[in-house]
Amino acid sequence: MSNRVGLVGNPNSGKSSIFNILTGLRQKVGNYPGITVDSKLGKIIQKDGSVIELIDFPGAYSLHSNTHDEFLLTRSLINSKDQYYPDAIIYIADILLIEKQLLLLTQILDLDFPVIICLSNCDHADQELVDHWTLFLEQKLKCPVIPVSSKSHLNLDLLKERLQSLLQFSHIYVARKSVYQIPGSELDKLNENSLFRNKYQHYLWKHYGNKIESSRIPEYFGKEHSIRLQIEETLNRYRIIEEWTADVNIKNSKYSNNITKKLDQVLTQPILGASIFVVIMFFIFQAIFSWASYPMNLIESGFAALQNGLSQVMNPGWFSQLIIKGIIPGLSGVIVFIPQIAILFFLISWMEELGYMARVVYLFDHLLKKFGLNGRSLIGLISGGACAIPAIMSTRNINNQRDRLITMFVIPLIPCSARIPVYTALIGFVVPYKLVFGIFNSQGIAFMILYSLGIIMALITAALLRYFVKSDELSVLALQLPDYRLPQMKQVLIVVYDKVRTFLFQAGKIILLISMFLWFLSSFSWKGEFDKVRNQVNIESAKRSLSNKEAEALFESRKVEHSFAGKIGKAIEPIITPLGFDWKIGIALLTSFAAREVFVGTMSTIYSLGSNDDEMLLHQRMEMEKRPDGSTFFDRRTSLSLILFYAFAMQCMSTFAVMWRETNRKRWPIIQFIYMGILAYCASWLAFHL
Amino acid sequence: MLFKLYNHLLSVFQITGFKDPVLAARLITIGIYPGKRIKIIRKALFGGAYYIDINGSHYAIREKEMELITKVEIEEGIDEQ
Repeated sequence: MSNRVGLVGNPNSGKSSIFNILTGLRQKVGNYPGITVDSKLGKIIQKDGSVIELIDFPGAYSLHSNTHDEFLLTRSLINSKDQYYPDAIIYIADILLIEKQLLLLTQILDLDFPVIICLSNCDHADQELVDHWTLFLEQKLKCPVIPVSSKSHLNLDLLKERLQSLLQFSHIYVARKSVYQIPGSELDKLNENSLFRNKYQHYLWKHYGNKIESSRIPEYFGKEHSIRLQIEETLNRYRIIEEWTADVNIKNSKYSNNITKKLDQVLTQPILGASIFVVIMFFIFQAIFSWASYPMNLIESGFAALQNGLSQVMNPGWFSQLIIKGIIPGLSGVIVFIPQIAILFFLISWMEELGYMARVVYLFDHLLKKFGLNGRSLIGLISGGACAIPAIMSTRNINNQRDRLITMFVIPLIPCSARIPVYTALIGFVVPYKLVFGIFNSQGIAFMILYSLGIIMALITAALLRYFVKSDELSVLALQLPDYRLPQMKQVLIVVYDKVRTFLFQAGKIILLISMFLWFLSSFSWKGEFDKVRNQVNIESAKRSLSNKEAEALFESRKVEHSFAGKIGKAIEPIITPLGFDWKIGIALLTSFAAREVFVGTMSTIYSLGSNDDEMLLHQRMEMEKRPDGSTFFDRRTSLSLILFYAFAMQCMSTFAVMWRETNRKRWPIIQFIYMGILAYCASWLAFHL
Repeated sequence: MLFKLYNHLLSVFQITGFKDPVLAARLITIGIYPGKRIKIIRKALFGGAYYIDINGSHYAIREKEMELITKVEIEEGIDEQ
C-alpha cells in the first residue's frame, strides 16, 4: 500500500502551485462524499520508484471549520476511517504572511501527525527572515522546516527526500508537547478511546463528529458550547503565536504590498473599479462569444467532413449508422465546447491567481446578495450569455455552496448563443422587419427584449430560490483580500487542462449517451414500419413524378414521422396543442433536447427540405404551413409561443449533463428541467392565448 | 446613499468584542479579533462592503458584520455629512 500524504495550508498559501509541481500531470480529480468540491489527488514518484499519494486539501484557516471547504479538511483529519485520512502532512505556510499561517499549523501539530513544514514564497523574502523562521520553527515545533518556492522550484527535491525519511520513520515518531492545553473540565470528559489518535483528535470529534455520523458519538458538544470553546481555543493559540512573533523585527526588503495598495486604489474604487470590471466582463464575453467561434466552427466542420467521408467508405447498415449518425454527432457535440471552456477558464483562473476575483466579490457583494447570489456569480451569469456549459462550470469558484447552487440553477435561463438560430428562424413571423425611429431594426429590438426577459427571469428565480434553498452556512462576507501576485502561466494552464479533462470524461459521457439515445429514437421504429413507409413514398413519388432527391427528402421526412421520436411527438400533441404546437413541433422539441439549434435541422427534415440547414428555405416553407382549418400555422401567436418556449425550457442535454456532474446529483438537473419546463409552458400558453 | 461612501473613511478602531458568537468564530479565524486595529480604507457603492486594513492585511467586510463588532474609535477619519 502506498503512503498517503496530505497537503494542508491556508487559502492563497501557494499550496496548489506546490501540488502541481510535485505531481505534474499525474493528478486525478475525485469528489468529496456528498459535496461538490473536487478532491485533488496526485502521485509523487520517488527516485527509488516508490509512489506517494498526495492529497491537495481545500485551503483552510482553522480546523474549527466555518465553511464547507474547511470542514472537508477537518472531517478527513479527525476520522481515521475517512478515505482521505493521511499518514503524514506537508504544511504549506507563506513566509510573507507567517503569523496568519501558524494558527492552523498549531492545530495540525496537536493532532500528532508527522509534519513537514514548507515555507513558501521564499524567493520573495530576505535570507535573514527565511533563516530566522526555519530555525525557530524547527526548534520550537520539533519538525523539519524547508524553505521552498514554487516559482524557482527551490528545495522541492529536498522536500521529496525528507518526505521519504519522514514516512519511513513515522512509526518511531515521538509525540511532541501540545501547543494548546484543552481545559481541564473538558479533558475529563474525554475518556480513553482507542478510536482516536490522541485527546485533541477526540476533542475535535466531539465538536464535529455529529456532522459526519451521529451513531458513533452521541455525546458531542451542544452548538453554543462548541462555539464558546472554539473561540476560547483560537484566542489562546493566537496569544501563543503572538509571543512567537513579538520579537521578530526583520524588515523584508524584497517584498512590500505597495503595489497592491496602489492597484486597489483604482480597481476597488467604488465607481471606477466597478466600471473596470464591466469592461473586463465585456472582454471575457467577447472572447467566449465570438473568438471561440473560430475553433468551434473548425471542430464542427471537421466532424462533418469525417461524417461525410465515413458514409462513403462504410457499408450501409445499422452499425455504420450508429457511428455516423449516433456517435460522431455526439462526440462533436462534446468536443465543440472545449474552446469556450478553455478560454473562459484561462481568463478566470488567471484573475483568480492574480487575486482580482476577491475584489470582484467585494465590489458587487451588496448588489448580488439581494438575489441570493455572490460576487463570483457575476462571471457565471455573464458567460451564460454565450453558453451555459462553461458558465455552470465556472461556479466552482464560489465557495458558498448555496450561492453556488442558486447561480448554477439560474444560468440556463440567461439567453445563450444556441437560442439565436431558433429566434432567427421564428422572429420574422412575430415582428416584421421595419425601421424604428429611422435607425433601429424592429427585429433587433425584439431580440433585445427576449434577452432582457431571460435575464429578468434568471434574477427573479434567484431571488425566489433564496427562500427554498436552505443552508447551514452563515451568510458572511468577511473575506481576505490577498495581495496581487502575477500568475504563473503553468499554474493557469494546469487549471484549464483539468477543467477540459473533467468535462470530457465526466459530462461528456452523459452527453454522448443522451445523444445516442436521441439518435435511436429518431432513426428506429417497430419492425417493418420503415419498409412500409418506403413503399408508400415510392408509389407517391411515381404518382407525382418526383426527382430522386425529392423522393429521398420525402422518405426522410416520413421516416422521422414514423420513428419512435415521431410517435412520441404525436403522443405529446394533446399536451402541446394548448400552446399552438402540433406533432411536428413535438418531434422538434424532443430532438432539440440535444441542443436548441437542432430545431432548425429537424424542422427542415420534417418539411422534407432534405437535411440542409438553409434557414431561408425553411422560413419560406414554414410560411406555407397551414393548420387543418386552412389558417396560417406560424402566425404571430404560435411563433411567439414557440420562441418563448425555447427561451425558457431547458432544451439542452449538455446543460443537463454538466449540472449533474457539478452538483454530483441527478436531483438538481431534473428539478431544473421541470422548473424551466413549467416556466416555458406557462409563458407559451400566455403568448398563445393573449 | 452615495454620501455614506465617506462615513468613517480612514478611521481607526480597536476591536473590543463581538455581538454575535457565530460571526465572532468566523472573524477570529481569519485574524479579526479583540485587540486588533481596523483601519477603514474605502467602501463599495450603495451601502456595500467595507475595505479594511488590519496590520497591513486587507479584508472585505459587510456593513452588517461591522455593526456586530464592538469597537472603540481611536483615530477619527473623514465623515461627510
